[in-house]
Amino acid sequence: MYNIVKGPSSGSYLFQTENGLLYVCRFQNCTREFSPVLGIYDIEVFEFDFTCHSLDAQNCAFKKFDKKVSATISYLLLKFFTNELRIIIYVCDTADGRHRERHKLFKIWFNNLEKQEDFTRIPMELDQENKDSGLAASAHGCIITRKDFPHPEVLQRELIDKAASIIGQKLVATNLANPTSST
Amino acid sequence: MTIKITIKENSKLGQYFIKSMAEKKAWREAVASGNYIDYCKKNNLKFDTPVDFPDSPLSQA
Repeated sequence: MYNIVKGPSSGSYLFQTENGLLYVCRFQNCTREFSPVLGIYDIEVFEFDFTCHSLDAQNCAFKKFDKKVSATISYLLLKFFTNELRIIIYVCDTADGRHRERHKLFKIWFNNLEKQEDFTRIPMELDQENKDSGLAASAHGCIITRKDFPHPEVLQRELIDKAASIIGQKLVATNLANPTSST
Repeated sequence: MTIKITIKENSKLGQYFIKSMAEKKAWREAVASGNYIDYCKKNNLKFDTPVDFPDSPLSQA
């Protein structure tokens, strides 16, 4: 596993691999964008993502599989989940058409997570319709909680059942008001 | 169980979806180019730190 440090100015979590890649992970608390009921139960919802860049432009390390990377991200997530009231939302972006690969990769990492049996992963599919050509774009993601999450009925009622309208109304309003406030 | 959300063309959700994906792309490109700190400054972004780890020795990180 690699050493993780916190970027004091950006708030990102960083680690450097022995292949010369710098991984940048970020959490964004989006609890307030969802139902206020979540706050009553002290539930916290975070969007999580990570990406990397090569510290050397000639480096081909992107193609190399590195077990320590998944171990490090798993460790970061395990530390995050020391609080049983936390929820992660992970959405793969579609911009370069590689969201399915990212989604599969994240699923593999989740399945390799230490104590994976202690967590629940609920897959998400977002499809965008186009009236002329049918399906225009899609994104994949998931919601992760601890298995012993104490309020599954609140999660179901206030987040999962309302997912489309929550994303479609509250987050849109926030995002249009402040384009950089959410991902 | 899979949560399925279908977004209608030209809906508010569609606008959000496009904006959200564009932001993720911009973030990934900023990291790929090594300019993510400038990206955060430019967009006034500071991410949440729900996990305790030591600060990077690089104050710019």
